[in-house]
Amino acid sequence: MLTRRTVLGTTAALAVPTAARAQPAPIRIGEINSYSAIPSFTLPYRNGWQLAADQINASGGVLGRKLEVISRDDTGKPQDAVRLAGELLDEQKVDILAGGYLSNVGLALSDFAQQRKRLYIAGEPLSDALVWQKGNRYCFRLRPSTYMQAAMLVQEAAKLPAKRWVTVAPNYEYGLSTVKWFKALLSAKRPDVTFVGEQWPALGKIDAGATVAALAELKPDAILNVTFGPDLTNFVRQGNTRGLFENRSVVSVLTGEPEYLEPLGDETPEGWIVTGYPRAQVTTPANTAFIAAYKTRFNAVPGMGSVVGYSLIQSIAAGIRRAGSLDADKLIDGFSGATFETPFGPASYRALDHQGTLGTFVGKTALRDGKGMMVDWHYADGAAYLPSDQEVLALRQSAG
Amino acid sequence: MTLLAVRNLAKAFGGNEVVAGISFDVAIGEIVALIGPNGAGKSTCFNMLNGQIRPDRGAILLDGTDIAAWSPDRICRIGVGRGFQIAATFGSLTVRDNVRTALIARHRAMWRCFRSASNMFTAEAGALLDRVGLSRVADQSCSTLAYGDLKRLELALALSNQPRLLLMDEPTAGMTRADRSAVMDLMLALTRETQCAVLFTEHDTDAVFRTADRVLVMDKGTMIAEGVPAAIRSNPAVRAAYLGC
Amino acid sequence: MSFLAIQFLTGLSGAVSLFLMSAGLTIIFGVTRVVNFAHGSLYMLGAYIGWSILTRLPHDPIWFAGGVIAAALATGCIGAAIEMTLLRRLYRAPELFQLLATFGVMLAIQDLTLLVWGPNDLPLPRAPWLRGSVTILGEHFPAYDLLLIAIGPAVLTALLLLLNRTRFGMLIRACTENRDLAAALGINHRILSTSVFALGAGLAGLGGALVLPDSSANTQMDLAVIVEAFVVVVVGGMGSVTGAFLASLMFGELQAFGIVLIPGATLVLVFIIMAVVLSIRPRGLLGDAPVPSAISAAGKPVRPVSSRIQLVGWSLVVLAATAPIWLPAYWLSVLTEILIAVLLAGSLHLMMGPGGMISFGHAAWFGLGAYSSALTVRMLSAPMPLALLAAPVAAGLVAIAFGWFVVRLSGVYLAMLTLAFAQIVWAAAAQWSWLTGGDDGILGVWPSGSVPFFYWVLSLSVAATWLLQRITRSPFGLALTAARDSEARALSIGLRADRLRMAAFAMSGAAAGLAGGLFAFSTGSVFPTYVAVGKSVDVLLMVLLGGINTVIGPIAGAVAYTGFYDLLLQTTSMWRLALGLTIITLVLAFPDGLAGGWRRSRS
Repeated sequence: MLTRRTVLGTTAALAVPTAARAQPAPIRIGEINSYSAIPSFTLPYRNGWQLAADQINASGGVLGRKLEVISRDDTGKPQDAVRLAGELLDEQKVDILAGGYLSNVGLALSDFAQQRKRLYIAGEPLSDALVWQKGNRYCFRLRPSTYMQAAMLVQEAAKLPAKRWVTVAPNYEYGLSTVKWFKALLSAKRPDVTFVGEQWPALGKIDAGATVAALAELKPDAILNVTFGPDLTNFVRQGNTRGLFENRSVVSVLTGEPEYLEPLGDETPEGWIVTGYPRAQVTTPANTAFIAAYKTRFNAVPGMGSVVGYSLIQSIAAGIRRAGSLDADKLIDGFSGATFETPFGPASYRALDHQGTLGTFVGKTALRDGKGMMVDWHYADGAAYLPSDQEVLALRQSAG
Repeated sequence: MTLLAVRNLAKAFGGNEVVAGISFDVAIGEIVALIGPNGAGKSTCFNMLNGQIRPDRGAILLDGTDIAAWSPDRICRIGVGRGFQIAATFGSLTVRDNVRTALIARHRAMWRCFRSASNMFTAEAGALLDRVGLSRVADQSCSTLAYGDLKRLELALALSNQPRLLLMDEPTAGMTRADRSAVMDLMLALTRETQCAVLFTEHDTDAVFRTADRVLVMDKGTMIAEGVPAAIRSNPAVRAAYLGC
Repeated sequence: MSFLAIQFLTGLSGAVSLFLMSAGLTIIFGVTRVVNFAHGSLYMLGAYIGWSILTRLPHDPIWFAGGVIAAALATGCIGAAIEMTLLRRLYRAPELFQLLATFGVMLAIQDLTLLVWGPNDLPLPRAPWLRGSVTILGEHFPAYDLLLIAIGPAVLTALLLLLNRTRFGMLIRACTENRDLAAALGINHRILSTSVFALGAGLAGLGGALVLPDSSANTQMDLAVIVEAFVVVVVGGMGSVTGAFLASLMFGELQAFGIVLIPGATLVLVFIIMAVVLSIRPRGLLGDAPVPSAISAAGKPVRPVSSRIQLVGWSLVVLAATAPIWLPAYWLSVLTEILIAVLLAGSLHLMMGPGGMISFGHAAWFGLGAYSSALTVRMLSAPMPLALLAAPVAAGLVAIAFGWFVVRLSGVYLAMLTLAFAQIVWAAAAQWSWLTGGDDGILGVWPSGSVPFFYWVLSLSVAATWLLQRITRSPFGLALTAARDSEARALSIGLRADRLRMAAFAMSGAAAGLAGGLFAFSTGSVFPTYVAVGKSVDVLLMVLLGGINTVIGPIAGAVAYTGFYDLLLQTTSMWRLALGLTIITLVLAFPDGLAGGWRRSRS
C-alpha cells in the first residue's frame, strides 16, 4: 500500500539518496501509562521500554527502521488516556498504541483502538475483559490476566489442607475479579472448601487493624490476599503484630514482585504462596543478560514493571517484523501467533484471543538477611493456565 | 374596622416564655406603635406576625384569616410588608434591581427564566424610588448606600407589594436625627395615601408619641398598657416599666 | 466478646491520625477561613520527613519520639512558609479563592515529593518495641496502637489547654468566633494566621509521622486522607476541635465495626454517615455558631456581559463552527472537550454565583448524565439524540430530589453534602457492575461521525450555555440572587428562597448532565472516574479561576484550565508542578479571577 509517507520518503530518497537511506522515518509507538498516578510501578516500567527500544535500534531496528516511543501520562484517568491516544494517532502519527496500567484505562484504549481501527498492545492491565468479554481484534495483552494469576495460585492452593478460606482484596475491579476467579477455580478443584468471609478495603485506604481483626475473628484456615502496595505493607504489619498469619496458609497475588515485596523488608511473612519475580535467582541467560543491561543503563535493579516495559516493546518489534507492514490488518495477522523474547523466556500472542502467554513465577516467600525473597519457585507458563478454547470463544462471542 | 387581630399569642425559648399570651387589634389605616424596654418581647412578637418564628399558641387573624404558622412569603402575599431592625436589602444588586425584584415577586414573575429582567417593571420601580426619594442613586449598587438611604430602600421594598399592613421593626434605628424624622414622615405620608395600617416598634419616644394613633406597651412578654399616646404618657405602669430598666 | 473489645480499641487507634489531621484543618479554617486543600500534602510531607529523620536515628523509644516531634516541627515550618508567601496575600480575595491556591500547592508538592524521595514506597523499618503486642482478653493487640490511643486524648487536652488557658488560644477563639470583632480589638491577624497555620500543619505532620510504624511513606497518602479529614471537620462542626475529636472517634469505630457487618461498604461508609449527621444536625455535632457562607454573599453583583464581549463571544462561536475545515482532528477533540467544559462550568456557576451554593460534588450530575446516555444506548439501543436527551432529564430529576433536602443547608455544609452525594454516586457506579460495568465502565458509546458529533457538541453546549446566561439575567436569576443576598428579605417580599434554590439546583444538575452525556460520546465510554472527587475539583477550579462574579468568568476559566491542562499533559512529565505553579501565579496575579483581572487591567 502506497501511503502518503512512503511517497514522501521515496521523493526524499531520490533527492538525497545516501542520507535518506541511512535514516528512514522511524516506526512510532504511542505509549500511555499512569506515570504520575502509580510512579512506583511506571517509572521502572519506563526504564524497561527505553532499554528495549535502545537495544532494538542498536541492532538495526525493525523492518530497517528505528523504533521511536512517544510517551504520555494518563494521570490514572481513562478519559485522559483516550484523548491522548487521539493526540498520538493524529498529531504524532504513531503506528501502534501501547501501554496502560489500570484495567479501565486499558479497556478505554482498547475500545478507542477498535473505533480507530489501529492496534493497541496492553502491557500491564490485568482485566480478563480486555481479551475476553470486551475483547476486540485490535487489542493484544501481554501479561497474565487475573484469571491466569488466580489459576496459577489455585494450583498450589488446592494442595493445602485448608478448608475454611477468607479473602481480602481492594474494592475495585482487579480485586473483585481475582477473588471471583480464585473462588470459582478453587471450588471446582476442591469441593470441600468453603469461603467464610471477605474484606474489601478501599484501595489505598485500608483500615488494616480492623481488617486483620475481622479476618481473624472468622478463624479461617487460609487467607487469599489481593492487596498490594501501601495497603499490603499496612496489612502485613498489623497481621504480624496481631498474629493473624500464625498457623495459617496465605495465598497472595503479585506479592512476590520486587515492587511489593521489597517494602515489606524484614517483616516479610514466610511461607506465603505468591506470584512474582525472584529477580536475581532466575539465572536463565535471558534474565541475567536483561538485569546486566538494565544495571549498566540505569544503575539500578529492574522491577516487575521493568520486565513488562521491556517485554512489551520486544513483543511489538516481533509483531511488526512478522507482519512486515504497518497496515492494521496485516499487523493483526503478524501479532497473532508472534513469538518474542522476554527476560522470562520466549512468549507469544495467541491467535485465539490475543492473550500473551508470558507467565510469571510462583513460589513461597521467605526471609533472608532481613530481606524478603521467593523460594521454591517455578516458572508458570501463561499458556498452561488458560481455559479451553471453546470457553474462551464463548466469552469473546458473548461480547458480540 | 379591624384588620389585624392578635389573640393570646405566645412563644417560649428554652422554657423561658418571651411572649406570654398577648392580644391586640390594629384597624385599617391605623398607625400603632409597640413599645417596651429591651427584652420585652417586641421583636419576637414581630417575627411571629411575619412568619419568621412559629408561635407556640395563639391566633393571628388578618381580615379574619388565621395566619399563625404561615410561612413569611405566604404572609407577604396576603398583604403584609416588613421592615427589619437592621436593614435587609439585596447587597449585590443595584437599588433599582432591589425594587425590581420585589415587583417581580409581587407579580409572581420569578419563575420566568428565559426573558431578560432588565426591562421589566422599570416604570413601576422608578415610581416607587421616586416616592422614597432614591431616584438619584437608582443605578448604584446598594452596598454603597448610606444607612439612611438603605432604610428608605427597605421601605420601598416593603411597600412594593402594596401591603394592607406594614410591620416596621425600629424603622429609624441607627440613623441621624435629621434622617429619622425624614424617614418617619415619609412612612406616614406613604401609608396615609394607601390606607395601609402600620405597626411599628421604636425606641425614640418622641417619634412614637408624635406619629402613633395608638400605643401598645409590652414588658416581660405581656401587654401592660394600651391607649392613645397622651394616656400612655401618663400611665404609671408604663413609667414604672421604663424607669425600672 | 473479646472480639468486640479488640475491635473497639482498633477503632480508637484508627481515629488518631484522622483526628490529628482534622484538628489542624479545623483550627486553620476557624481563624483564617481557608479550606486548606494542601492539608493532605502536609500530612504526606510529615511522613516523608519523618522517614528521613527516623531512619537515621537509633531505634529506641526516646529517639523515636524526638524524631516524630522534629518531623512535626519541620512540617509546621513548611506550613508557616506557605502561609507567609502565599495565603497571606489572599485573605482579602473571595474566600474560596484560597482553596484554589492550596490546590496549586498540593499539585506542586506531589511532584516535588517524587523528585526528592523517588517513586518507591518508603516503609520505616520497625524497631522491635514497635512490633510488640500486648494480650488483651486472649487476643494480640499492637502495643503501638495502645500508644496511639493515648496520644489522641493527650493532643486534644493539650489543644484545649492551649485554646482555653493561654492568650494565644484566647486570640484564636476570638478570631474563630468573630473575625471583625477580633480585628477591631487590635489583634494582629498576620502573626496569628501564620502561627495558626504552622500549628495546623504541624499537627498534620505529626499525624503523618505517627502512621509510619503502621505503614509507609508513599505518594498516594495525600489524597487518601484529605477528603476524609474534611468530612470529619464538617461532621464535628467547623472550627470545633472537640467536635473533630468526637467525629474522628465516631468514624474510627463505625469503620472498625462497619467492615465486619458490611465488608463491601468501605467506599461509602463515611459519606453515608456524614449525610445522616448533616441531615439531623445541619451544622455538625458541635458546630453551634453559624458559619458565614464561604462565598461572601453581599459581595459584588454578577456582572452583565457588555455588548462588545458578546460580539467577541459570538464571533468565536462562528469561528468554532468552521473549525472542522481547518483544525486538525486532535485539536478538534480538544475543542470538543473545551466546549463541554464550558457548559459544565457554566452549570456550576448558576449554582455558585446567583445561587450562592458551593458544590464540591458537581461531578455527580456530570456522571449521572454520562451514565444515563451510555445506558440508554447500551440497554435500549437508542439513537444518540435520544441518549443526549436522557442525560439532562435523568440528572435534573435526581437533582430535584437531592436538592429538596440540601437547600436547607448553607455554605461549606451544603458543599460537603454535595460531596457526600457525589461519592455515593461514584461508589454505586463502581460497585453496581450489573448495571454500570463497575470500574471497567461502559464501552463503545461512539457517535456515528466525528464532524457531525462536533456540531452536536457545539450547538448544544453553546445553546445551553447561552440559556444559562439568560437564566442568570432573567427574573428567576434576579430572584435567586436576591435570595442569596438576604434570605429574610427575600421571604418577606414573597419569594420562597428554598424553592428558587431547588430550581437552580435542578437546572444546574440538568445542564451538567447534558455535559456528561456529550462527554460520554466524545470519549466513547463512561467510567466511575467521571464522578470522582477529582472531576468535581476540576469544575470548581474552572469557576474559581475564571471568577465567580462574572458570567464570562467560568467560560474563561473552563477554556484556560482545560486547554492548559491538555497542553501540559502532552508536553511535560512534571505537569503537576507546572500546573500547580501556574495556578499559584494566577491566583497571586488575579485575586478576583481571570475575567476580573482582565477587566481591572483595562480600567
